[in-house]
Amino acid sequence: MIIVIVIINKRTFILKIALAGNPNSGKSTLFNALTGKTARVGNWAGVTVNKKEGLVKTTFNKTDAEIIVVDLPGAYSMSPFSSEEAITRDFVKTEKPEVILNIVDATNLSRSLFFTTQLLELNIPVVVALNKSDLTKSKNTVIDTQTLSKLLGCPVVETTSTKSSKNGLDSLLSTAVELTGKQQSAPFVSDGIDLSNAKLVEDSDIKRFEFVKNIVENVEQRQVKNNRHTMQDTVDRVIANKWLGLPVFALIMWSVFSISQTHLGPILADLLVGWIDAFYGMVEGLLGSEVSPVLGALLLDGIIGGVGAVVGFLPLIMVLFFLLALLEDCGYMARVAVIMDRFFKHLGLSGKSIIPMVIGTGCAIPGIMATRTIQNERQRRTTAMLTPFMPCGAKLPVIALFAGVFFNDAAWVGTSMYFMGIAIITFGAWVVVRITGEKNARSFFIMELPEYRIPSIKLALVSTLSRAKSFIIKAGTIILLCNAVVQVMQTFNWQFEVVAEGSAGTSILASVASPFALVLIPLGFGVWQLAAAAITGFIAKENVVGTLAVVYGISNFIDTEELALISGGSDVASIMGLSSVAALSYLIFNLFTPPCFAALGAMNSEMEDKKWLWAGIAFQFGMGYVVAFTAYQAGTLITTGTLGQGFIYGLAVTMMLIGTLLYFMYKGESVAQQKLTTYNA
Amino acid sequence: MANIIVLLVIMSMITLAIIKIVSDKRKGSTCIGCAEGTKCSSAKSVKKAPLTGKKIEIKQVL
Repeated sequence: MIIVIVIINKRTFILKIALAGNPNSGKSTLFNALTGKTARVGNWAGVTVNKKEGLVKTTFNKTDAEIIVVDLPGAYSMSPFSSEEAITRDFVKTEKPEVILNIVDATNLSRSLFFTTQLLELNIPVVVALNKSDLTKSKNTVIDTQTLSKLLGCPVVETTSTKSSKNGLDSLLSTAVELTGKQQSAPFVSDGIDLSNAKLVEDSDIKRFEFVKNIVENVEQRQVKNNRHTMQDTVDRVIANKWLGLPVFALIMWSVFSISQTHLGPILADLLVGWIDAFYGMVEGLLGSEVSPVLGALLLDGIIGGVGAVVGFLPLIMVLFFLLALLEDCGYMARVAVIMDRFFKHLGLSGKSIIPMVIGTGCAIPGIMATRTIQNERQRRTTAMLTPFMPCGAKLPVIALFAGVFFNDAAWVGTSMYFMGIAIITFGAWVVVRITGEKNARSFFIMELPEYRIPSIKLALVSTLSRAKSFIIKAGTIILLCNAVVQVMQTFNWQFEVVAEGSAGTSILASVASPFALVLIPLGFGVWQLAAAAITGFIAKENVVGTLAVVYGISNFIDTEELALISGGSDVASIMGLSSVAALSYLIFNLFTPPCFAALGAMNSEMEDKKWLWAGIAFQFGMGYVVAFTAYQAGTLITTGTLGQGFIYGLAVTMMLIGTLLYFMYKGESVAQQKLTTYNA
Repeated sequence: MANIIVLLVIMSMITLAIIKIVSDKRKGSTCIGCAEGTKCSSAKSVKKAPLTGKKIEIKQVL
């Protein structure tokens, strides 16, 4: 990754400084430390796929100038293989920054310096930031920075970007500023090589590796390791094991959900919900009896109640995100990619597909965007189509609501939704590779596994607070607007008269949602209220919770003891009129049908093919419908001994969807045969 | 009078929400307040350069 710092002097000049480095060398962490921003960081390669800009904080900037940092994706060399490496190469070459800050992973000097020597050839002053210096000390590795500086012909500054003090960033930045406009000579020059001549390029690379190797031998004293397995190897033997990997992953995810949704999360949520309820009561008291009931309901039930119901889940989500951030930072999530590769490579995907899916657990949009690191077009489009099946942060309130109301906060509900998402992704990849006639295609996956480390509480907190802020902004904007619209549509009929009490079925909302509700009868929730909530979920998934709160007049899904006072019902389940099986079906439908419109836009952008986009959306609708139908009908049969409502109708739709899939797979089979024949010929 | 005040409060909340959405859109954000924040990779449209159809050769050079 390269971080470019642009220094703009308010008076007379603009100075550009670039920071460059290999993936997972700590560039985004350094970028965040320098700018105070919260760019996504992760203890694995490939987290940053685009450049980001930010102003350096005044605490670091001792000059009168303004310094802008540009964080670029990681790169192993100036000859890019992946698209994000190309972004880095193009930026450094075309933007011509005055200085490059090269972030070097001190724990892996020999690999990192290959890129450093290439940067030094660009005739742009380079400062090497020897990052993760704390880790080298703990490993008894000593790096002679003065000799390294001499051999490279550029300044070398030790940094630890994860530390909040004594991290070397002051010295790094001042060195970079001092170097502006000065000349450096490259210690290794390969200019004039014909890049189209593979043999010449390879010879040059070998010479460069030899040069780097000599430097490392001169400057690094590393504790000699024997062939015995380290503690890390031992842990990996269990965690990334062929048979144990998946059960361990399931256990870890169950623990995460158990803590966030059964134990710690609800305790914190109770506090927050208490404050929201108090605020609701205070506003209700202020309104008194003088205010029109329509306006009062819009403010209390539509805006405060609807938004409050969504925000009430914030503590549960924060705890979950915090735990996931810890898992990512300690290096575990990179192992999940290795575990999944074993399955994915048999399905025509690569382990690299798991990276967008893990990112998609936060939000589907950056997850879909991350698919651009996948070189193979079919794999990229398939991954973009399947990534939204991983439950994203916006779907967590929906999971938490149904797990809490219908399943007594059971952790298995959330965990099983993640594994159901993985199962659907697996099935989807299996189907797509057959439809596209590439079932014989094989892929490989190379990923540099980060070392295990004690996760940074600070980084996890920053990540969690950043997501919490985004969640609150979303609740105060799009959710608020949607809830207000839903409240208005529920209050009036098409003649714009206020709907009489007990005649909610005549409202605008009911008449719009009722046709959709008919289609949903075989899934166990064919009522207009639930259909309306599912529809608004396509704007933002949190809207499902907000709309349910508005249409059922529930302002509090957490502390359900209060419900009797608000809605006159004994509990949320009876207010909604859903059985546990129907509730599970509704949850599945909302989680596994297409994501929000913004994520669909990202799919469109990354797929760059309308046929793929519409096929993807149709597949998502089909999967959500069929899985929810199966869950409801099978669950009803098991729990009551009879089939649920609309079985024949739903079965017909399901058979039609399966028949369509089989038809396209049959067509793909002949394409695969043709390809195989051509290949053999 | 009370109705006017409540209406003004509601309208101002809705107006502020719309202003925030429009302002984020103008900054290039494709999504509003997603879990990754507005600084995620979707915040600016970037010319993509997917490298497809490239053959990969892996060999040990040292």
